[in-house]
Amino acid sequence: MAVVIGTNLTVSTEQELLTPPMSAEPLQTALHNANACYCVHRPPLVSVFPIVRQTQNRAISFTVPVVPSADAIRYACTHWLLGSFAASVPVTVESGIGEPPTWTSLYSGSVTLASGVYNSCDHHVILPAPSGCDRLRFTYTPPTGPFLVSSILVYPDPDPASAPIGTAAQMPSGFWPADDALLGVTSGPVHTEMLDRCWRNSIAVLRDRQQMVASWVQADTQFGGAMYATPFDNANTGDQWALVGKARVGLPYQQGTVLLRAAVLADVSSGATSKRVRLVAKPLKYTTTPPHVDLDATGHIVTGHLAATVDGTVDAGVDLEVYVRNISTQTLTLRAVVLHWCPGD
Amino acid sequence: MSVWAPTEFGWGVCYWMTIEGIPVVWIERGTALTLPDGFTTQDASLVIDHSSEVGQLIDREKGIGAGFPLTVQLLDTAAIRTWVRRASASSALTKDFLATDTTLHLTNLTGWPGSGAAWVGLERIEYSGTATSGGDPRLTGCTRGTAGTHARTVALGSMGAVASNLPRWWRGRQVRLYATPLTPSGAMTGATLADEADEIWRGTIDQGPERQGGIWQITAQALDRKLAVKLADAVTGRVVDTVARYPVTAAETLAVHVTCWNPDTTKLWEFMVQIAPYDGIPDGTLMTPAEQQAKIQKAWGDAVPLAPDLTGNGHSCSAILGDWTVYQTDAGKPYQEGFGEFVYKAAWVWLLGFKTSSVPLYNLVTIGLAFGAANLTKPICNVPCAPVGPCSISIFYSNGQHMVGVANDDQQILVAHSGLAVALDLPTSLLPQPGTLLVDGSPNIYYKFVMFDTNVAYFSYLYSDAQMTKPVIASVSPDATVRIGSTVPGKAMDVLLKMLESSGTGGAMGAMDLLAAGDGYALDAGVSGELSAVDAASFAAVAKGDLASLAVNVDVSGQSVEDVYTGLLALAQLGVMLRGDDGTGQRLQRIGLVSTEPGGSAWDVEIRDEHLLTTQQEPVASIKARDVPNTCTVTVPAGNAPSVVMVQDLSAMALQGKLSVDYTVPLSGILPVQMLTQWAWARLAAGQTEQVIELHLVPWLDFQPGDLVHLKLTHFAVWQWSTGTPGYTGVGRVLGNPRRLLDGAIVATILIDGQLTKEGLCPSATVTSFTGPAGAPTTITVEQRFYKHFSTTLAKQGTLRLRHYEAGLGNEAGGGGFAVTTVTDTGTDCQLSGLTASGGATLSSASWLTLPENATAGDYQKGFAHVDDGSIWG
Repeated sequence: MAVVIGTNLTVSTEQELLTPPMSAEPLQTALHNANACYCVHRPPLVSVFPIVRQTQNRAISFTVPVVPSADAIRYACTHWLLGSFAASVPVTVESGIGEPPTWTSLYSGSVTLASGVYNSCDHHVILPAPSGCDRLRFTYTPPTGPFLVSSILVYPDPDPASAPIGTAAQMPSGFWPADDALLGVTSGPVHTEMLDRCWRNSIAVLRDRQQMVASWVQADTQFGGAMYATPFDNANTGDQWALVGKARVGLPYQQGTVLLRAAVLADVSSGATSKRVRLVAKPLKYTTTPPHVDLDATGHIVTGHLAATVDGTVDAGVDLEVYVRNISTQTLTLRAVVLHWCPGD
Repeated sequence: MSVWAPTEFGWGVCYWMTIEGIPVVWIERGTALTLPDGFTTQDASLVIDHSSEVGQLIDREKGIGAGFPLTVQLLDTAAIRTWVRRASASSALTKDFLATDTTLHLTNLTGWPGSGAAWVGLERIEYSGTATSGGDPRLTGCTRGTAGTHARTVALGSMGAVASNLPRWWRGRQVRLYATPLTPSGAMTGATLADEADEIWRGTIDQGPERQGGIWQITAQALDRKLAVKLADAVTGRVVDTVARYPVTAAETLAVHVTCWNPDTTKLWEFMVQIAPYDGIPDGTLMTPAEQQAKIQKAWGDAVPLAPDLTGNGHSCSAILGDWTVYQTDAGKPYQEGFGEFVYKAAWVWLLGFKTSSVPLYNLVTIGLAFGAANLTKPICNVPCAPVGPCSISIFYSNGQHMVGVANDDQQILVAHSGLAVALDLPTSLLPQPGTLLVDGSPNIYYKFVMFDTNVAYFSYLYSDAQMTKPVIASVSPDATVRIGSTVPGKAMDVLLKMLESSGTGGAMGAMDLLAAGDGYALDAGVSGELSAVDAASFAAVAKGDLASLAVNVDVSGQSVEDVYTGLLALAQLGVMLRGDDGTGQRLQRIGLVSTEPGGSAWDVEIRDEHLLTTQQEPVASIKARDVPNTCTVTVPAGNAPSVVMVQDLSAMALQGKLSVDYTVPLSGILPVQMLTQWAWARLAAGQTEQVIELHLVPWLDFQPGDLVHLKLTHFAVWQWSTGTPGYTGVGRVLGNPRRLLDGAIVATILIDGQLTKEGLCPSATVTSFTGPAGAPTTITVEQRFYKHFSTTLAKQGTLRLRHYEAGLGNEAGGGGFAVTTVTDTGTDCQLSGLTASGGATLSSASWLTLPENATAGDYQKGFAHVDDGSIWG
């Protein structure tokens, strides 16, 4: 026995937990589960239904702010596309860091579309740690005709057979592979750190895998310009907040105040950039003042924290409202708004 | 070292006692040692010979200590006679006496000397002067809380609002009994009387001083018995109406800035109207929205005709701006359609009308709205109006405290305004805020604010949830009965500490002194100092994991800690009790949290046959242990709709009949209830052959309730279930340690194993650093908290062996080990030295140290959990 990284959780029965003799079990199962959660906890890092013109027939790309795992693990990617033609569409995924971003190609492939049918492109990428990746760019280049990028999903899918899974000292995420070898030693010690490692690893994985709970993404550069930009239909907002979208953020069983990491990518043609985008977290039922955060439209990824007040029930959550404002001399283009949740925040 | 330790070598102890607020040390015999601060005289009148044993005993089913009472006598000395007599000066207070006041205002100064001491309630105050100027007799230069008392707030209307030059009240004063070592030749040791003394009992006077023959007798209850005393009752009353009322202030102003823009961005007309609707009304006057409306309309009507058109275009303000109207939105809907999503049910909506179609009113009207001194220049709402015709804009306005805003303006605050007026059965102005309303036949209502007008209390900001996130309209019948309670939400241990500490003085007793007077026991939780009565650190240290973060919602009114917390403490196998504690640097009796769990491993004191006292009775006796149930019911009260969790072991019930236990826990939320199910199962899983024994022991053993001790007894009255033989060798949990005052003998109650043995897990310490080669280190540093364990092991075994492993690297069974000869507390870390490596042990950044397997472990180390050692998980 040593470090065992399972790909499934084994749930102990109540019978196994009722005054069991001091032996390898049930701790051994718990330790294996502590390792397995590294593989099985797979919240979406990116879950986007991009806003795109249906008649799009040129190359299109979306940039999504992300906070990948600190362990530089493997992620699974799925792209769903709908085409009006039967041909292969090149798909690329790049990671970016910094302002202006330095791009690194992670994947180049393609998806073969059939006319009028949704087709998917599934592949893996290994994402750098957050110090090397603060955004992902997804690019689609159709050979001809209009097509629709329906959705993009990226979620952790560590490879149990590859590094960094396996024997290792404590990882950057805080995860420390559990080893059950001492439980096999005759009259070996059953120590506190074994028990602690179960919950420490669970918490480490939970907090390392930040999960996207809301998104609003449109194309970086699109034929005819981005679909949504102020002024709307040549009407300035008069520097007043204008609602551009809503989304429901589910935070089941969370109670009190939950802090969501908000990231915005927006730019203006000229003029003021300060506090051009407002995110409001409206509780689903009643409240006093809905919390909000105002973020700048600098063309860079701008982050802040949005406080969500939730009631601890299974349907706990908030309604995210996205507002923008511009002054009459500028055009404001909102590229992406994403909320990531780190459990415990 | 305990004051009892030298008794093994022929030493004795001298008892002495203090009474809160009486600056006298009552002692068995006179001493030349310096008396404690605040105590100026001594009186050798203390008699403890007739006292029964004193000390503590925990009730595992209640989780609350049941300290034994103390009865002492005082000889009829001249000193005592100066205290048990009527005061020669006694005057009623004329003003509330706040805890921070240094002047005491009285009706007169008859009999009061120019300086001296005064007593108000339990508090002793020293004053340095008197004054009568302005027809206001008073004691000045007051030093509060002397002679072991605390500064307390005394409000007029209390029986305690009288100052006297001798104590009027004795009941409730803390009695503290100390023991100072006596050498075999009878000399007291130490530089001062308190220097080497231990506090051995602490409580509050229950009866006395009362004359018993020719002497005085005082009976006191142990301090932890206070936890069974109910706190202030909830106030009751009857519903008068459900109209919201809010305080207004004369300085409150409302300003409206309205501009009509032409399409070419020039202004068509512009008015600014500012009114002070409550001018001349006393601040704090409670007004209903309808009353406010009348005031606003009147002021508005007066101001509008006078407002000029700021554009100079000459439009008439009266011709454009209409009246204010008001209505309340539908209470039955979460949102009121058509008025923006920030309008909540039963909000008060104020409509400012635009009057006529005869005046150009099109395109964009910008409205600036401000209350008080807010900035008027920033338009906060745009209203696209029809080219022609009247329109209106919704202004949400409730009162001056909670200015709201205009429709569609997400920057403003809107709150559902609801209220409840209750005629109180007993007029009071001391209702909790926030609190809970329990109305006949309705779910609980939680309120944020309360205000008073004679005997009517006006509650506002009503919610249906304790977290106060869901505003609610009180749907109750007039004349319904209401109980007004003090509800305290929070983490389980925080709320418990609030109940212990709260005095109504806002933090005077400790960080958790946050509740109103009467909602707590006002026990001092200072981390140092003689007055400290609560070991707050023990609550954080003992209640870990789920219990520390458990969300509770406690209605404290009319309840005691025992009423509220016994279920939770019993299920969690914890107890709140008085125990000897060295945390302040001196052995004091303080209330702390202890474990009552059977089994464990890290013991300090060993009890052997030679420690048994056989002179007066059989030294070992068996006591009935608590029953092990097969049905456990846990009730979570939630107003009129409690929820119940029940677990049943049907197989066991079929074989042994139903044995049930019921607990009530004040939980809040959903997940904790699921967790309770696991606790309930654990209650069923307790060993059915657990033993509780009572031992009569020599005085010099130093252990406290909650401690683990190691027993090595051959006495026939105790049974070793693991071997089926008389006697017992193993670990036990101390449940009580009462002590006879006459001879110091301990009567210990100890929980020991039956058929099931539970041991503590082996400690494991991460290696934070080392010196020397990795394979032959000179020193190894681990966290300081391991010093206690490693030094104890070394002391008990003579050798300390530790197994080394590198976590995560795949060879945790093959890391070798170290023999250690020296364990040092560096003040910040625990340092191991005198090291001998074995088995190829080589340190790295992944290194940890734990106990060795049983084959190479010493006896003390074998007492911790090892694979297949016969103990159980639990």
